[in-house]
Amino acid sequence: MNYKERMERLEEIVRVLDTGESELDETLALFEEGRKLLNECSKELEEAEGSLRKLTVEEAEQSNDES
Amino acid sequence: MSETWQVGELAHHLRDILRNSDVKSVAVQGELTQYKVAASGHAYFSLKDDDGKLDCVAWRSKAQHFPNDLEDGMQVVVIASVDLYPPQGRLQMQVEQLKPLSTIGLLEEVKRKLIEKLRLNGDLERLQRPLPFIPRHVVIVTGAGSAALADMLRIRDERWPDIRCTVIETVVQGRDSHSMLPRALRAAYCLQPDVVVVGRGGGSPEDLWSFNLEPIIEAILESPVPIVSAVGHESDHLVSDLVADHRAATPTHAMEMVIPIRGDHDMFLDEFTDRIGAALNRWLSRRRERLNSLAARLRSAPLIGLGKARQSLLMLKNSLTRSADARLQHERRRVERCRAVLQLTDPEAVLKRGWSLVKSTDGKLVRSRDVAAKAASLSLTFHDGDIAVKPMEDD
Repeated sequence: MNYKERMERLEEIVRVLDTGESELDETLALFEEGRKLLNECSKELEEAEGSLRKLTVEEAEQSNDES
Repeated sequence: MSETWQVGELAHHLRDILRNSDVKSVAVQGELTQYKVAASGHAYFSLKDDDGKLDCVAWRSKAQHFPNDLEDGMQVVVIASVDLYPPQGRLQMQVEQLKPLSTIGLLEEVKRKLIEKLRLNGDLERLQRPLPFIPRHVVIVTGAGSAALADMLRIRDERWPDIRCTVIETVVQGRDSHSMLPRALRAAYCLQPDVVVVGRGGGSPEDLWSFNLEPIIEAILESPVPIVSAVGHESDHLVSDLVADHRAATPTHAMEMVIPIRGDHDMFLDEFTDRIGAALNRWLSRRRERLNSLAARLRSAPLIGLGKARQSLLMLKNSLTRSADARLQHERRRVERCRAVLQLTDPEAVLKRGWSLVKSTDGKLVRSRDVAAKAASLSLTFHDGDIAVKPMEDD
C-alpha cells in the first residue's frame, strides 16, 4: 500500500467508525488498523527526508560508478 | 511511339508540360550557392541541399527587392515556378521572392522534423506517469549556479526543507549542453530517484534551444521515473515539454508540483489521528448510551411486569369478590328458604296449630294405634305442656 492508498483507507476507516454500526471486535480492529496506517504514513514522511546534495555531472557519474 | 520528335519540339513540349503543371509559385528551401547579380540586374544562382540542386533566375524586377546581404551558404526560401528554357534545354526556377531563413527559422524546421519523428515513433502519445505522492528522492538537473536553481531550492526550503534532494549542475545551453545535458540526465537516472526535474530559467529562444534537440529529447525519453520538463517561462514551448511526463511552466512551478508541503501532511496525519480517536470515542459513547438505555429498560422491566401482575391480581380479586358476593347472596337466599321451610315444619308451630305428640313413658314417639293400645300409659304433648293419659280398652 502506498501513501495515497493508506490515506484513502484511513478515510474509509473513519467513515465506517463514524456510522457507529460496526461491532466491538471490528471497531477495535479498525482503530488498530488506522493507528498502524498513521504510523506508516509518518514513517514514510520521515523516510523521504535526507540531505541536499549538489553534484557536477562528473561527480554524479562517479557516484554511480561507486555505487 | 513511331513519330520522331524534333529536339526543339520536345523541349517546348516539356516546357508546356511544366508551365501547365502545379509546380507554380511554390516555396522551396535550400542553400544559396553561386549567387551572382548580372549587369542587367537579373540574379542568377542555384539552390541545393544534400539530395539535389536546381538553377534559379530572378529577373531584375524581382531581384531588386532581394536583401543586400545575401551570401553563398545561406539557407533561403524562394517562391518560384519551374520553367524550361528551350534554347539551352535548361531547367530553371523563375524566382519571384527570396527570403533568407533566420537561425531560428532553421531551428524551427529542425524542431518540426524532430516532432514529426517523435510523433511517428509514438513518443508523443506515451502515458504520463503520475508524480509520486511523497517523493523519496528528487533529482534536479539544471544550470550550475543558476538563478533557476536558487529559486528551486528556495521552494524546497519553503515546502519541505528536509526532503531528500540531489542537484546535478550542468551546462544547459550552447554546444556543450548537447552532450552534457544527456550525460547529466543519465547520471540522474542512476541515482535512484523517484522523480526527476530537468529545467532552466528563461532566456532567448536560442538559449533554450537545447531542449528541442534530439540528444536531449532521447535522454528524457529514457527516464525510468516520472520526469518534469521545466524550461523557461510559461510562454516557452519546447520539445522537452512534449516528451516529459509533466510540463511545468517554470522551474519554480516544477518544484511546487513535485515537493509536497510537509506541514500539510503533518496536519493531515494529526487530523486523522484526532478523527479516528474521535470516531472511536463517539462509537464508545453511543454504545454506552445504548447500554445505559438497555440497562434502564431492564431495570424497569420487572416493575412493569409486577404492575401488570398486580393489575391482574386486582382484577382477579374483583372478579373473585364479585363471584363470592353472588355466591353469598345465593347461600343467603337458600338459608332464608330453609328457614321458611323450617318454620313451617317447626313442631312447636304445629302443636300451636292444634296438633299434639303422643309419647310412651320412656319418651319415644308413638306412631301407631297398636303400640298405643299395648301401652299402660301415654304422654300427650301440647304446645303448652305434657299430660299423662291412660288408653282405654275398646271392645
